[in-house]
Amino acid sequence: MNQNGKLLLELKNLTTVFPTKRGLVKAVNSVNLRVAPGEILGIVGESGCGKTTILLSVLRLIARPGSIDAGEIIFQGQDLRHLPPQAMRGIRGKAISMIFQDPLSTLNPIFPVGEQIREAMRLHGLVKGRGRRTLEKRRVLEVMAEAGIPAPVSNYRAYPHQLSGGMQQRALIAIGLVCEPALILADEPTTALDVTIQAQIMDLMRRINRDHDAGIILVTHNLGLAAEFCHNIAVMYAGHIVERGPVDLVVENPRHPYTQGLLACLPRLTSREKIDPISGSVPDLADLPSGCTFAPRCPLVRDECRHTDVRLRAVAPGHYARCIQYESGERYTLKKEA
Amino acid sequence: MRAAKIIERILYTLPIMLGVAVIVFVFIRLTPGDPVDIMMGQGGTISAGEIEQLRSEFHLDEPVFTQLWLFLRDAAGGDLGYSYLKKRPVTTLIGEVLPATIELATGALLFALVVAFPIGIISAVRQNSLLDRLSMAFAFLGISMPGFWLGIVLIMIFGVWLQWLPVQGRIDYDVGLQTITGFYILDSIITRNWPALLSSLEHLILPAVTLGAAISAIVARVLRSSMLETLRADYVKLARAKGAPERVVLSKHALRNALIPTVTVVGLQVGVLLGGNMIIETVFAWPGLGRMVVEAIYNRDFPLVQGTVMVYAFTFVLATLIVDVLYTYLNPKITL
Amino acid sequence: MNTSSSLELASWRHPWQIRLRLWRRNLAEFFGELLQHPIALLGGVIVLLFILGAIFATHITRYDPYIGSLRDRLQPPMWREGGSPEHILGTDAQGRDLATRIVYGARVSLAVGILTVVISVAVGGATGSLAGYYRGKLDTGLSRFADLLMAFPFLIFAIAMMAFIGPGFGNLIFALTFKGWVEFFRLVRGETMSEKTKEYVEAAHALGRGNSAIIVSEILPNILQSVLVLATLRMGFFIVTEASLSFLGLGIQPPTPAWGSMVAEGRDVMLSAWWVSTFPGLAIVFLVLSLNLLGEGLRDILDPRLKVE
Repeated sequence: MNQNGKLLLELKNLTTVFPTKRGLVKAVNSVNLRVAPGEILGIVGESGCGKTTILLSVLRLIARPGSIDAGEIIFQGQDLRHLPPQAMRGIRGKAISMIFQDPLSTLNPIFPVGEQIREAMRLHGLVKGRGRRTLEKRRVLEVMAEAGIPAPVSNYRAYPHQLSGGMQQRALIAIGLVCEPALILADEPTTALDVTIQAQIMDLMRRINRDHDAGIILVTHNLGLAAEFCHNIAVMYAGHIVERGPVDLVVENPRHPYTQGLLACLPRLTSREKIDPISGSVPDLADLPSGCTFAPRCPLVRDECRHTDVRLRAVAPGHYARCIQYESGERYTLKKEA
Repeated sequence: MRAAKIIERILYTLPIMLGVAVIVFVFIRLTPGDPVDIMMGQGGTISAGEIEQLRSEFHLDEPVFTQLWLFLRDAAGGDLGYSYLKKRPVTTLIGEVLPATIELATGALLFALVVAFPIGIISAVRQNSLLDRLSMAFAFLGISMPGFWLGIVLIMIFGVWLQWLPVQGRIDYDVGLQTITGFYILDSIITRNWPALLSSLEHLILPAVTLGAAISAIVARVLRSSMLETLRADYVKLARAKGAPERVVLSKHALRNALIPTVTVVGLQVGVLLGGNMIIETVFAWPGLGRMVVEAIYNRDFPLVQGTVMVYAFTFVLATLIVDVLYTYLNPKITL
Repeated sequence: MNTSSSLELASWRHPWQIRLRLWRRNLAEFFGELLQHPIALLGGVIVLLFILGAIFATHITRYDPYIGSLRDRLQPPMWREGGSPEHILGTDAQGRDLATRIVYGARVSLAVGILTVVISVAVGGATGSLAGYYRGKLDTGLSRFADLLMAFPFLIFAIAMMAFIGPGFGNLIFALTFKGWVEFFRLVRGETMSEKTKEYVEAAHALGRGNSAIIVSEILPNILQSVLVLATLRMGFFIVTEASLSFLGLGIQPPTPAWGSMVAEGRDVMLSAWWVSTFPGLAIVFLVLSLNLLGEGLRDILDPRLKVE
């Protein structure tokens, strides 16, 4: 990881809302995050907690009627929210690129994959002058090889449906790579793939992070994957970051009851303990309970939890958690049920 | 490889063409009455001897299957029979009026597409806006209106009341157009006869609009619903994330994918064009194939009717073929 | 939706009784939704009005649709100069009251529309379900024949047929259904093929039910709603086609009041009496529009409800 002193991306109080028939949904609720150059940050949480919305907000791809309601998105010193549309387009795909979840539906079915990769270059005019097409094609083949796509020359002309799932994902990654971005937003890049392919893709991404010094924000619901791969982890619940910090600290010593619950849910090969699932289900984001949003499901819940809005507090250097326990410095232990 | 598949597809249409010819042949056999009388129509009185001669000339004494075979053989060779009423071969008669119908059909199709595409696209992009709701309401109306009525109403409004446009025929008599191709618009351009060009365009507007209205309504609706789907597709999200400007996203990514189902529907509309033009040509007294057929029906000139129906059916089969082939170019997932 | 039905199933009655109960409840749900859907409701109400008007034509009109007095010929509609409340929509070239003829014309159009649809559905449905279920030579043969018929544009086929076999109500129905069944054939065939692979069909097989029983009591009820939607939409098309044929003089012959031929008659007096062509045509537009609205509304509501599995 590269420490530069200057942050690659900083989200300050980012709030993204969607008006729905049931009410205003705060998909991203006052989120603060930091990514250093070359850092891999994982955002972990259940489906619907707002992780993908954070990524889309960074790129300002939130579709109407949703909108970014408040906060700053500071990328390399610039607040992206204030950029005029043309400048923002210049950043999308070039300085910040995004890798989506389901490659078969994300790739355009009527164009060959090579052309789709090349389009990313063409849009940003990276190559100019005569012989542009040949140079662009050459670069595309390079990127395809780097992404691990075999026989790039013949696969250039292949259509998405002719490739396997793993190859399609590599093509998506190639699209995300071709302009040498400083930050890559990866939305569940391996969820749709087999386990063995998953491992290969994660290796690839690790290599990209190393070789290109590219920051990566990895969004996933798989805590184990994040634990293996990321430098830092942020745990999200119902639009809030409930815990964040270096991966070792968070995984070895989780401080928020939700994180603790998630880790307890992971089956372990060596242990034969019963898995304790977290009771209850994700709340309706349009109808959030007052106070701590996790209170209804928290095994450590107390009366104050339902009335007090809690902020992220440091529990160790670089390690933060949002729980009432840490407001006053007390610690609670899990009351065992008889 | 693709060429082989295209040829295969073309060959597949041959049995269909054959079936079409057989059905048309059966049609004429369905007509009650003596075949000679039928073929003579109202050609006047003839002597018994001539009747006998005609009988043998038309092989009416021979078994049905021989007649069928002869009919098919002639048709394949381009001989579609002989019209006693007009005393000329059917093929010639058709050839004379075909350019007029092609001009009308082309005009209608062009009008339909020029209207339908912007409406379909904009309605999808600005879904539920006033423009969207209005144009979909109009489209709904368009598919519920019978063509002959729309034609008459347009005639009454633009021809009788406002008197802006002529209401029948293809061109005014006094412009003295020299016909080369038979396509008046082309001919007037070639011979630089500008009054003729103006006149033929004026005459073309109302019939083309009437014929194209229903088609444009259907195409607009299909295009809109296809676009709505493609605009919500994931690959559109990716295109935006790549930094593509909105118009590229619309045209290259969304529209091109939306064209796939739309083209199929447009192909089907050719059938509407072919059928509708009979009605429209009658309403506007447009001297084309449609009007000739309707007149032939009134005059009971069955050979002419038979030949024309075959031509219509063949054209439709051909159009379907072209659409199928076109479809494979648009949609790489489908090979023939 | 089916949670309470499992309670009903718990008391094991005869299968068809259970299905009937589910059906009745689904039907009630359906009507509830229909009443809340403004477009379908509008279409349905107007169609109903037309039907009622056609049935009670003799009671709601004053004049004889066949006979008019030449003295009153070509009277403009009531609100124009020269018109009178005696003839609300005016009279035609033979002095017949236009409004009366339009109401009677509804009989023809609705009769043609309904009959054609019913026969097309019956023929197409029967052949389609057999072809889709049994496949094999029957399927290939029927499908090829259907393809062949589809090679003709509808109107041309109908015109050619009417030209050769002659005009008249019966011939018209024949000509329309001859090609009309194909779409229903294709729909039912396709749906049968896809339903056949579903589990409840296997279950019925396992229970020992015969093939024809399966088709009739298991598969067809589930296909019903798509057929209903298509039938409503096609009915409008058949009515327009009938009107076009009558307009050309190949359909219903005068003096029977048919909207298409009325428009044709109005053509001769188009320059001076615009109402003679306009109003019958408007009747067509309203009826067909309402049918289309109803059909689209039904499609919204029914897709994919009313499936009893």
